[in-house]
Amino acid sequence: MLSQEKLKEIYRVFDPEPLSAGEESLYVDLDSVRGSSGLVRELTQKIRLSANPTCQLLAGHRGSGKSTELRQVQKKLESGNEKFFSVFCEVNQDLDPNDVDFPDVLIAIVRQIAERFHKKLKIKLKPGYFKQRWGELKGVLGAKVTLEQLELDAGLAKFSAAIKSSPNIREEIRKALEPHTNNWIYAANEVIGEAVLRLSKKGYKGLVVIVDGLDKISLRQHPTAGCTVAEYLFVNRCAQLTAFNCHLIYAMPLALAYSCAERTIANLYGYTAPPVVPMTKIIDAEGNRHQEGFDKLKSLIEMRLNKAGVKKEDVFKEGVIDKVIECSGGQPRELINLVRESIVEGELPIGTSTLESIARKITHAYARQLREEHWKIIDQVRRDHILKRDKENDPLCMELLDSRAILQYKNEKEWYGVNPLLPKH
Amino acid sequence: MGKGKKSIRFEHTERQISELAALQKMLKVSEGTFSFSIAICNSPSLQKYLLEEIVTESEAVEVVEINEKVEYIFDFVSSKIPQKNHTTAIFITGIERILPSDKKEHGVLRNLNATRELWKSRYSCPVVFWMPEYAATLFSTQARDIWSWVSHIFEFVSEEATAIAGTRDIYAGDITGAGNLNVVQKRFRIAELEQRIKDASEPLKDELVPHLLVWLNELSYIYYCIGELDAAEQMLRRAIEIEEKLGRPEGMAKQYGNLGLIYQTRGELDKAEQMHRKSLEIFEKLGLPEGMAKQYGNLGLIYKTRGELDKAEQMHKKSLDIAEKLGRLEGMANQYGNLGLIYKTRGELSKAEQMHRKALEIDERLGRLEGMAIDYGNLGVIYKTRGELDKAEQMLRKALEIFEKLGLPEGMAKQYGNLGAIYEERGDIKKAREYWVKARDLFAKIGMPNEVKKVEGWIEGI
Repeated sequence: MLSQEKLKEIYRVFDPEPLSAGEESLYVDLDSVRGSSGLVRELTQKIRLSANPTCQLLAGHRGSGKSTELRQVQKKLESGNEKFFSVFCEVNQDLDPNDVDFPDVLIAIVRQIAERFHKKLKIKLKPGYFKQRWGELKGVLGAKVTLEQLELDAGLAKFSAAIKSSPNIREEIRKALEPHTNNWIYAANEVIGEAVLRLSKKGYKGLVVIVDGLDKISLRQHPTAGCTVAEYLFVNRCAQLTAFNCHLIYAMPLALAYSCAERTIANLYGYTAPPVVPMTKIIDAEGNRHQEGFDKLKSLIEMRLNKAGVKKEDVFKEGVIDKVIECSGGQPRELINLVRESIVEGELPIGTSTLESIARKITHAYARQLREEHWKIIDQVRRDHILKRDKENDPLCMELLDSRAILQYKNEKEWYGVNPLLPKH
Repeated sequence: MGKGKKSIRFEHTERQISELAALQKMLKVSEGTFSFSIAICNSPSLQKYLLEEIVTESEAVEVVEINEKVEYIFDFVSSKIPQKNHTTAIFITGIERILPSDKKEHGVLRNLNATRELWKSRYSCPVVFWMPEYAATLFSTQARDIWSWVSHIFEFVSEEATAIAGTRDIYAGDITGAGNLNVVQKRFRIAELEQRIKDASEPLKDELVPHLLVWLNELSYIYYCIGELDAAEQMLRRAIEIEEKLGRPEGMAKQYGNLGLIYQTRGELDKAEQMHRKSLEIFEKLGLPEGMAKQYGNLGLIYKTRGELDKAEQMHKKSLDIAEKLGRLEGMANQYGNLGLIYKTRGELSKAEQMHRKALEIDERLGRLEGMAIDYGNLGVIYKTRGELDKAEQMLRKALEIFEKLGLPEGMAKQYGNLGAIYEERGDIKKAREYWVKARDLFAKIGMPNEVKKVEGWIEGI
């Protein structure tokens, strides 16, 4: 019987959060079993080799390991002969993923750059032209807030707090900013310019901002643009998203990379196809087990068990690890979640019945989400392993990818599979 | 006249003095001979002053003031001045009252056009029509026959005591922020940018090049604002050199366009045109319609300065066309505004008003406050030209309010200047001076010496 303390440790180590800087020991390179060969390298090289600021995208299912890959990119860029200074910008700290527009993103990015400079380099970046811009927003925050005396990050924090707190204020801020978008971008680039100059003096090759979290923005219809909020941001606002004078990587919703807007996005951002983090292949399209994939995910679990200092058999009954992996459909985060839930749901070691009861709950959740029109697509994917999209079913396909009812695999060729936890129809 | 009442230091005032001398000379020389002349004067108070000066010199000058009811100018004048008398000259004023600017055709001008023989046979002295610029334009186009008889034109205009609220040249790069720093801030900013440029370019570091170009451009713009045009040019030339070395034609095109604006300010219009054309050509080659639109707009401003209004109109329309196709509302508003200024110069006030209203509508829709302020300002100037002073003041105050709210001193200074001109026309010299002093001080504060000089000229002229 494991002690309560040990149990806590196991629970903690199966944390679905993307790996952070100190957790490299838990990193498993899934490239070979995902078919996403050299993703991290591709992203870093583009930055290292380019003379001008670059803007890259990375799409992937929720929980496919996108953020973990981005953390790897960050680590790679921060080391080596030509070091870059990176800001890992979790935009969801500053904005509401259900309702995002460019001004919110701009404020989030600049605020987090300023904060990181302050914290890591002890450099206080000057507000520069943001000081002039405060005037445009004076009315929005009410007379009590005086921005003139504030530092850059603190000043912007006032806005991001306001943006997150109330849709009305958000709307007002956007309305006030919209006509002056170019001036705001100029103000942002003024801050970035100063930052890059400071970095250059410290021997850094440049500034990289990794914007994570925009992949979580809503696929809801935009109120006026006639497309989803995500599409509006990445397509209509492309000119602005790419206007920052530093290297940028944006995480983007997978559904967008596999929507009818994909061609447009590829063209706008200069890709043959936007890079995607696919699912780990644990079976092939014909349903045959892919042992290498199984082994990689197994080692992912084992590394965490090692870190917690427990034996495999203390946590899983015989054969249960394989079952968990099967249920995950090759989604690393889902895998971790399943383990975590099992720890809470039943006694250790985890047995088949515990796992089944959890799987049933997920199946019920899907059953509640899916509508008749979804099933037509799901049945077709189950049969052909391709996702036939057209203008009409595009929103439905996006929903299915977004909810991970349909999973995308790459390996030799791209194919689609149905989430193993979907109810039988 | 030569009464030496005023200290005259400024070019435009000097020119007006010499126009007055020419007019007086003409009156003397053509005594006893019939001739048609036009005296163009936009400011009623200046006109009143000039007429007084002339009439005191020569008492036999008759002034006939046209009122709103007149349909036949010749008949009206005939009823006032008999055929044979000792009149040395006839001055006809108030013609603008019967030429509403919002009408396309003016019957009264057609009637007048048919009467040229009558004038000659009735009077043997100079006949001088006094009118504002816009009426002169109407006169020249709708009473062509008489116009062809006009032997002298005296201009008491050119330097209108009204700063046009906003032409919209397009300086590539969004540096309006820099323009609105006050003069001390500008100096600090210059020092800061110079230091940065030095740091980044000795030796030139690849990763800083994109920023270096931004800084050079901004520095050039600030120099441009404070009238240090040589320094501004130098910065742009450095930027062009870097862009060229890196093989970035788009950047070069942008900088050539900006260089053109500097030449324009210096009055080197040919050189300016050359630069805008060079820029245009590159944008054309690269297939970048947005850049092309900007340069068409800038070319339009050159032609306007040269007085080639048709060509200017054509350029602004081309620019507008592209902006429309691209759905660039902002560009459309800019060009509507510029077209408005052309029509205003032509005297087509209602067309001009219409353009500024269109610009305003777009700016309102975009919530582009600065644009709205410029539009209100331009509308104010139009109403002022029409003599609708209350309406003009209302517009100018709206413009001022927005500029104040946005904290944009340049726009504020221009509106103070315009409001001063309204008070001057109303004859409220004290208030006019007060506003012009405000304008002058504000221009001085943000470091715009050319504007300071201009406004000082108005103050001296009071």
